[in-house]
Amino acid sequence: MKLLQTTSVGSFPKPDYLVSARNLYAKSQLSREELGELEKKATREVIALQERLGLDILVDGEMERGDMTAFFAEQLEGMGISGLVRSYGNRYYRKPIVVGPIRRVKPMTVPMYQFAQSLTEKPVKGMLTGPYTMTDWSFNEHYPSRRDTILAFAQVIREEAEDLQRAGARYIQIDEPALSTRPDELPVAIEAMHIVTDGLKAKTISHMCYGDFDTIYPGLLELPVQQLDLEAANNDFALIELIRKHPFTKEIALGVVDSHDHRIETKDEVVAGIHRALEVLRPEQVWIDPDCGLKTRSWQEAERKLAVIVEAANQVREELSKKPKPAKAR
Amino acid sequence: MLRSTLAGSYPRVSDAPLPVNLRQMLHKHDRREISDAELEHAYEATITRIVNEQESAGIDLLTDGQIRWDDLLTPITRQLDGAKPGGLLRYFDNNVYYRHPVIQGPIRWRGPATVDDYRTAAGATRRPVKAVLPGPITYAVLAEDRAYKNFEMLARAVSEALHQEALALQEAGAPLIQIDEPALGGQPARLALARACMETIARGLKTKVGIATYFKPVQEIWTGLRAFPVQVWQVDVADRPAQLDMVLNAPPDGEVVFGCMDARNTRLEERDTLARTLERATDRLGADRVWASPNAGLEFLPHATAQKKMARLAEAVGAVNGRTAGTAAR
Repeated sequence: MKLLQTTSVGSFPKPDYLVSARNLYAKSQLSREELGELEKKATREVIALQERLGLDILVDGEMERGDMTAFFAEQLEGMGISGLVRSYGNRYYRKPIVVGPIRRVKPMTVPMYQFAQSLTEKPVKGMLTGPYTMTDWSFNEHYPSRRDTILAFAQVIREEAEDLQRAGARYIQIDEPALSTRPDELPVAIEAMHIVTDGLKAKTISHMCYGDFDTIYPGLLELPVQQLDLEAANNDFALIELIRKHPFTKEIALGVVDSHDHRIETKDEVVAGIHRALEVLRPEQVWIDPDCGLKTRSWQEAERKLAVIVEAANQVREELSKKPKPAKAR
Repeated sequence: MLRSTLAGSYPRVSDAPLPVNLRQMLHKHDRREISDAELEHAYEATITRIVNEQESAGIDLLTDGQIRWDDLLTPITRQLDGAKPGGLLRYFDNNVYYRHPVIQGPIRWRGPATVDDYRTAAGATRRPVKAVLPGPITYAVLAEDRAYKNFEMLARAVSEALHQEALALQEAGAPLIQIDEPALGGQPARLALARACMETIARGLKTKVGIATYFKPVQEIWTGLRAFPVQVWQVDVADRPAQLDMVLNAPPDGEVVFGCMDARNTRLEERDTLARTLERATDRLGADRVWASPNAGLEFLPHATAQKKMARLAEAVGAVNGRTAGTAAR
């Protein structure tokens, strides 16, 4: 198995032509078909870029998604979109509202997954937003409790995960960036993830970020996925010290560049980060990626950050291949 | 008479077209397409609009909407020697982020952070406008302390700086300086320190000082909190209905702002439900000591929803005052 496989978290920056097209579509000045063609064009570019850079596990870049909750909310029965709500600074999102029983009427992510996978021999991840995050990032005007809402989302996301697997996805990522919001709700989030992942054959991954991981670690290791995709660069690799205290029992995709900073990390910095991680993790359990989705970066920044990741991972992989195999663990 | 106020923040952008689109202006300023002066004008126009909206909805005590604030802490952080804004972290249990203050040396107040916007707001209306500042406990809880390495010393140093800011706000004419302590409910062991800090902030002030609590429950600390050296207490009774009885059974010696409307969900409260809550409060405390308010800043909601909620709050206050007036006339 190739050590330190490289990947990315999910979103890519939208090319300018797609941003303009989405605006025109919002004003009904462009048809859904025309927009769809441009989303495919952008997806081709995202796949080509990842292949050119030499990433191992690809993503479709989420060119058809505005944001990770509204995209699903727009397609699910029982949901509406409220209006612009600020997340930070000058960044806003259209926050969904649960207005009735949540039901899935058709596959939501499968067509774009299939299109992206048809463009490459490398595996493309199927990308979903988890039930806990869907709940936490939506207003709720229907269900009596947060738990009821979380479990209702889990059901529809399960259906989508099965369809992705049927369509050939070998990796299914169910993002839960909200997971550390209320540590006392971790058991409900875990219960919901069981509904989504139990019995799936695909490798399951969950990404989370902005974490106060220390409030949910090591309990987080009970989340029923095989790999956790976590940020480290953004908080100066504080995560590594947590892992030093309590061993990490899953695979990890380690965020080694900050997705929210314009500055491009140097290869040496990233290599140093990976070295730190390898003090507490086995190379076999580590993938390398950015902290978070790259959609807030410019195309050039995204490209350069990913290039640094690939170069740094290559260098450390090379070092590891020269090292004598350590004696078997005690 | 029962009166209404807002907790602090207010949506600065809208889904509806506005005369000044602050979001767009900030993007243009980022791209250097407009000057600092033009951006400044956009800020001022936005404050004026927000003040006018509160006034026409019938709110009695207004806020400047905190439209320049990226989060509760950063405006103050930028005016402190020894502190700088750090990386983004989740803001309590919201899908909203803040830059955590990184404390690098002794804290020293460099000059007013909030006074200019206060003056802009106060100059745009004949109604009273209150000032809002972050509390020292919340500031210290959310900060990364690399200098004092001592919670109490940091909180006390921040209190001295906030005292300077409060003096400047008093000078600008603020009739009430509200200190926001959303973290306090989670810090029962720090109640004595919080009290001492509040004494520092209010030292020698002639204007009223208030403490606002939200997000976290305050039942555990209420006995101590109600004896704080302030004149106004804000308590969440929307998300935490049990806190209504808590206050009514043991009211503080002063005015109480009842956060009776949920600022974090779009579901619109019934006028009569609000009125019933407020009547219980006025019956117990007398209308002159009671304020009606959302339980937190309205910026968690889309602009249209915030407007509806604000109007509904004023309606409920009007209904209660109408009934009281009717009773008095009989």
